[in-house]
Amino acid sequence: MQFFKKTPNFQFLKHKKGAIAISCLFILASIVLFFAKGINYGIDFRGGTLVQIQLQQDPPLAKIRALLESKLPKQHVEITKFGGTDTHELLLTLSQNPEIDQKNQIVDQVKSILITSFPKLVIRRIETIGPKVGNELKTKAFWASILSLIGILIYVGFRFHITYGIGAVAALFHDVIITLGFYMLANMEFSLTTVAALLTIIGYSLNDTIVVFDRVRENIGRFPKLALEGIVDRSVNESLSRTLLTSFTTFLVVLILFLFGGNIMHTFAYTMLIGLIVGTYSSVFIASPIMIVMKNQRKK
Amino acid sequence: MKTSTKGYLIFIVTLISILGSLPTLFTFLPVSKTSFNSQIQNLQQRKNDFTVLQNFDLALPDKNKNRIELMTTKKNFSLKESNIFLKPFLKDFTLKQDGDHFYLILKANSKAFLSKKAEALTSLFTNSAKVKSVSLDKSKAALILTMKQDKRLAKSIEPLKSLLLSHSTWNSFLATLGATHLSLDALYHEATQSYVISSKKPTYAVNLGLDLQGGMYLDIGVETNKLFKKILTETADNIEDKLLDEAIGFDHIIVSPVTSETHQIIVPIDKDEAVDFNTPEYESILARYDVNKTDKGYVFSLKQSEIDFIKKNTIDQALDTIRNRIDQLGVKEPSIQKRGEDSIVIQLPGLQDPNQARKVIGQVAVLQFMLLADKGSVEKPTKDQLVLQLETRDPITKELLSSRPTLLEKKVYLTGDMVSDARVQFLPTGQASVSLTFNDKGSEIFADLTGKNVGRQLAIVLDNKVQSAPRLNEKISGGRAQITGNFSPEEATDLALVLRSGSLPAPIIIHEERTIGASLGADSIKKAAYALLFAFFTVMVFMFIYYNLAGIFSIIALCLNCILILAALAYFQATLTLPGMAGIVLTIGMAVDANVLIFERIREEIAIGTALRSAIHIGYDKATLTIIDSNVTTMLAAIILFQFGTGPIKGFAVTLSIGILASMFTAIVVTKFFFEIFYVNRKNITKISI
Repeated sequence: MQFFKKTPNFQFLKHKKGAIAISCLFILASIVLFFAKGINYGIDFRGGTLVQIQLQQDPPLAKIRALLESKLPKQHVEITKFGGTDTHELLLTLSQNPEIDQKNQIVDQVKSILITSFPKLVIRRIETIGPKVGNELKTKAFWASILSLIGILIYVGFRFHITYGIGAVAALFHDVIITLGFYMLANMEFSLTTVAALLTIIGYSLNDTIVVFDRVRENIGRFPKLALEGIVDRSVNESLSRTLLTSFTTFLVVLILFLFGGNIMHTFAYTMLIGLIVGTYSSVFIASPIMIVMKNQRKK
Repeated sequence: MKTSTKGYLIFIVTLISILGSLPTLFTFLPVSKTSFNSQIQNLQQRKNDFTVLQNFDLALPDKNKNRIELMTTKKNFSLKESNIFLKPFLKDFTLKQDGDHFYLILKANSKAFLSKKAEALTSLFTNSAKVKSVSLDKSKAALILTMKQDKRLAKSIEPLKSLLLSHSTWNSFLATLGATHLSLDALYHEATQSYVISSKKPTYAVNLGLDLQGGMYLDIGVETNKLFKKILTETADNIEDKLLDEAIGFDHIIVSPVTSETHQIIVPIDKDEAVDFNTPEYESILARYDVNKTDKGYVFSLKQSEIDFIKKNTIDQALDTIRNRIDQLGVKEPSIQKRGEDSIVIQLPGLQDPNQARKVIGQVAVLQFMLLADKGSVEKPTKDQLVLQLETRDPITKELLSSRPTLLEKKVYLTGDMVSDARVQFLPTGQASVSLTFNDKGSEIFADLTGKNVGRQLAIVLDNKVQSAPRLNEKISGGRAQITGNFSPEEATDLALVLRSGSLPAPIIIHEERTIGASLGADSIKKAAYALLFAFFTVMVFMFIYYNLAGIFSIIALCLNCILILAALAYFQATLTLPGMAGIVLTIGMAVDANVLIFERIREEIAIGTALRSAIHIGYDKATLTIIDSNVTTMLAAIILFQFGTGPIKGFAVTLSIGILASMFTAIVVTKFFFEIFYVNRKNITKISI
């Protein structure tokens, strides 16, 4: 089986202005979303306590909310259903409250309040993040991302040329920003796992970009007289079936993870799914055009 | 490399990794019904044999008749040679029953000492007599020995424990392979005063992260600032006293607040006064301070070296205390480590009751004995008095029933340091209390204190709350005291535990807690494993459809890749977490990338008419560089992730990195080997199935 009987000959770079315009639009939308809505930080970064509870029946959210509000008036509690309808689970997110939350007794209190109405409740997970760790993680996540980008810039610049490095890093920024945009749109919580997913996307998208760049470098040697645009188009086309294939298999497994990997894997898989699509797109339409622009700039 | 060399290399790697991955595979395999049943049977037999053992009181050696009599007052039970606890003795003895009498008769050729063997038997009997009841928990495949009040199995001899745990050589061999769950482990559970004997985790199996096996992860810090405030306040009080003594005029002394980063005392001395802070008396108070004169007055700041010392000391002390406490909680394989300069990370896998753990770890447990003031009022305490609350709570609902301010004298006579032991005791009313035993010094002080203050009330203060204030009716010698309060039995047990292991230097703060219930962990592992298998299968099918025979090569490479990851996990004793499993799933998707790159190249070469044999070679040569370049960058991201992440995320970075490295080997070397066997080394190749 083959996707293309012959090496395809799509004129990708012809559409580069359109592609860059679309990307800019998405990036702009993400930035607007960021200021209008903001990132929904999970307790990993915001601090607070998260309790995952399993009941015997479908959780009556209104009743639970009323119960907790009457007994714990000072404590802000967010209540959401978690996972499918068959598991009867809910998540309580308790904001940080220095007055009440001493030695984490709050979980104890919540449990004793709920257990009167739901004697068979099971606490499946408790996560508490203090303000110190939250801030520490934010800084760490920020530096991890910056460091990986710098590392990539250096490696690609060293192995290829600095213009390639800039193209690759620009594509990565593009991927991360747009993925975050979709993340904000879905109003998912931004947690440690999200950072892991973003870094993986960076690695993955770069993998794609490098395969194309590798071809470009090879083809420059083979066709020294051809214009750079032509070479890039040729290289993208030559590696197209590989790009589609690898993206397809990876997409497939992430989809499986999303569908069957359990609730806790959900946000990770969601981020990866979006990132994969954006990453594959960017290595074709963003990384190379920017590399060409940089190269042409230098020649002048 | 020659094909044959490559073949050997691959064979060896495969063999080693298959062997190495066995423990990991066993971690995932559910315990089979038969193996579980045989475990239950095994435990059942131990239970029955043990119950028989409890009938005996003593083993008497009879030198004249070369036998040991097993003394018992009970009747109508039988002791058989098959009794597992007799086994070690049957080498030298034969069992004989004569009516209600049991004898072990020394074999003619045996050189064993009668008295020694009898001693061993007796200690076996006395130990088993300490056990109140034996029960079998079938759901958990565990034997539970509930001990009589305040009894424990003897630690020095332990014949009973070792016998309960004993297993045959064959079993232990299987256990080292990680194959069965037959070797046993005993844990003492303080709250129920019982030993829980259950199957031991195979030692070579992969460590499961807390998110997969359930348990508690705690990152805590010590509120050193409160400690500093206390130290500063004490010094300030001393300075104040001294200045008052010397009748030197000064304004209100300011101590930096708890939240402040600096630790200073500001003493605004009146302008017309002169004080010399260099006298020996002041120096004893101010040894730990730098003194500066500013326009605000004298500023005493805690020396930096002191601050560092106190911080380090506090965290070390807290670490010791917490370790002590956790050791008594009865958790398998706890891990307690210092992280950085101001954090302690505690990991308690398989923990059943996070609430109890949190309370036990977090209780400061400063115990003080003070006298109730007989003069003065709560509203206006004098300088030597202080007011603390006496709380009464409902023992079951924990509801605060009343909180009564109580006037105490400031002097502390006895503290928790002088307690040598603390145990739960039940009062005749059925209420739980904690009985304390003081050490020698404590006993002396306590006797003196109670003797001199007959008729007054002694307050027992725990963490600045008055627990009880009994009236002293007579001198109490013997160094024992009792704390009563509205304790539930569990609370009393926890309090006893905490008092035994000493107090914390300052209150703790929870930086981070992650607690996962065991059932959630089991669910996660199941789901992730299914996703893994499903992903694996889908990719395999797809690769076969797309590349035919070459696809099969890559499938074999992918299988080997997975086995290599599992083996590497076991070898490095890495901890497998849920994100770690996601990393493996992701690797499956990405590992085929290397093969795709190679195969596409070969197809290209074939398309432009290159001879088949050289098409294969050129394909591999050209693709290899690309594969390395693209994987290095992914590795880069994984390494940074490892540096950044906490527990579970680290697991993801580890499996991803291992997966990338393994895939480079399998995709390049292994598939090439198959190409060589199937095509390159043949005389005529007419077509490649790719």
